[in-house]
Amino acid sequence: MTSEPAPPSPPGPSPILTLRISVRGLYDSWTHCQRLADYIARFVASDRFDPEQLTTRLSTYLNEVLEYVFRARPSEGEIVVEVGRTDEHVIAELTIPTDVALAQRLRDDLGRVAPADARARYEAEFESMLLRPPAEVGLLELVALHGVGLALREGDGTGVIVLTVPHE
Amino acid sequence: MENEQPFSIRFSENDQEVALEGALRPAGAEDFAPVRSRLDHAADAVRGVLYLNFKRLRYLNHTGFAELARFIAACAERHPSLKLKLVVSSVVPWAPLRFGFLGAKFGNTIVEQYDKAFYPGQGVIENDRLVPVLRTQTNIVWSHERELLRRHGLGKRMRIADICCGIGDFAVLVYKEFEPEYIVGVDHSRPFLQYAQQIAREFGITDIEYQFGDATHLFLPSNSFEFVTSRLALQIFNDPSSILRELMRICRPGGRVYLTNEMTAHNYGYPRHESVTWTYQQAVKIAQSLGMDMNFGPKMFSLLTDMGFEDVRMEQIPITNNNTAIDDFARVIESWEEYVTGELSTATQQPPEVVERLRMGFRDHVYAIRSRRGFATWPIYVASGRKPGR
Repeated sequence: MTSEPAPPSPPGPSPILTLRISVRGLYDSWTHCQRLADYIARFVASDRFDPEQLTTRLSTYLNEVLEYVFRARPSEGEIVVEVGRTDEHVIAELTIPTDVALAQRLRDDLGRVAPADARARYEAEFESMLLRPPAEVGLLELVALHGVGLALREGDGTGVIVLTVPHE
Repeated sequence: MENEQPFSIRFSENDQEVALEGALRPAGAEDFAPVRSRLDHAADAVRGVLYLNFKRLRYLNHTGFAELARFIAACAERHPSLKLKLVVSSVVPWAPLRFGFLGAKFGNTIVEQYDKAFYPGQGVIENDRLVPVLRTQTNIVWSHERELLRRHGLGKRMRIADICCGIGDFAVLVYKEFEPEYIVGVDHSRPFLQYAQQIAREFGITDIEYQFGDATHLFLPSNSFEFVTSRLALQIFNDPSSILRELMRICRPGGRVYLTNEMTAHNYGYPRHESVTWTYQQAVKIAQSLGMDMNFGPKMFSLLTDMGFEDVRMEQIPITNNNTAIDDFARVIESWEEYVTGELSTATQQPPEVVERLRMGFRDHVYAIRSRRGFATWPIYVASGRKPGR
């Protein structure tokens, strides 16, 4: 009996940039979320076809994730943003320091954004959102309306939010 | 390009319109309160329809979106007879998705995609079947325009914006001839821009930037280009002034805005001139029914002058079968025949006998071009003006 060779694993994203921000630095101002999102988006999109469109999309999505992180208030430490590119996607990974409570919150919130039922869930959340917008609905909207991928990878004392954005 | 804009909100009671621009990313309801207060004031002040103009709102976070949804919900209760018309542009990629969602949720809300409604012929003009027409036209015009551009102020190493750049071939030619410091092409047709990108890639050109955009609401910074062009484009919009204002805005003081447009009714061919003349006059009428003014060329001088441009220069590119490669000229007319008797006639539901007569006129024009004793013209008007100040 001969065994088939394992198919080659798909190549990972080509790295574009890595940023390290202190949690305390981010908390200095709410506007840091958008400044950071705009900077990263413009940097990543600069050599692409129609950079303005890609910048607008990337900044919109990254800002939403950064605002979520801002509200989630991780403990002291560093937030690391790594952005790379495949043929089809821009992939941004935000590594944030977690304690037990925050790790559980990330699991709960990111667990609610599975693409299969994101649209139905967003529709359902919309009514309650009119009364008091819960922070994580912004993440749900990214998946439900904008076709963005969101996933959580857990490490030792860290949570990694993975944002996958199609080029087009 | 740096073009981050601060947030602004303006209410025009006269237009019953609230225009929101820039980036709206509040932290919460408290942060949004000043905006909500302006919106409430506008809703209290008007009757019938309140327009919420989001064409230039580039960024909106979900918190802001939720707050807008709450305003709309509150409006439905407080002003049951008031309709809210949300005016959005597809140039802002998230806007049709989000506001479309709101439009479906609230009975008091209508969503209008501005750039689809801007002129009725848009779908016809942006079709990729027009690519051969545009390509042949550029080939024929460039040989004349190359020198003429210098007379209108284009020099080497300038910052250039080509608005309504179509398939981008003019930008490539300018890039090669004038080695600009920076050049950006903007168009509202994705098929055209894809073609432009492909051509640039094939020619090994990586530093022309192409943007999907709306010529009346450009995401380009004010006062930032020394030379702004818009070729054979104003004639296809029903409100050319709004585009010219935008071209003027992005032009640096002392820089020049350069336009070309046609006077289609003056296209001429002899012999068989009656048939040729009828066809072009008819084509002008058909285009007019789609909001286009194909006789716009000679009106540019007035428009530039009225808008406050200085040193307005105007001339004509006199394309004839005596100064242009006959095969190229004929190919242009043949591509018009295909476009006008096909796409354009279908879109405007022309009767078969009209289509046939249109076809004959184009063929007679080609006959005049190719005939040993024939004479044929296609005049293009060129105008430019200097933006005041230094």
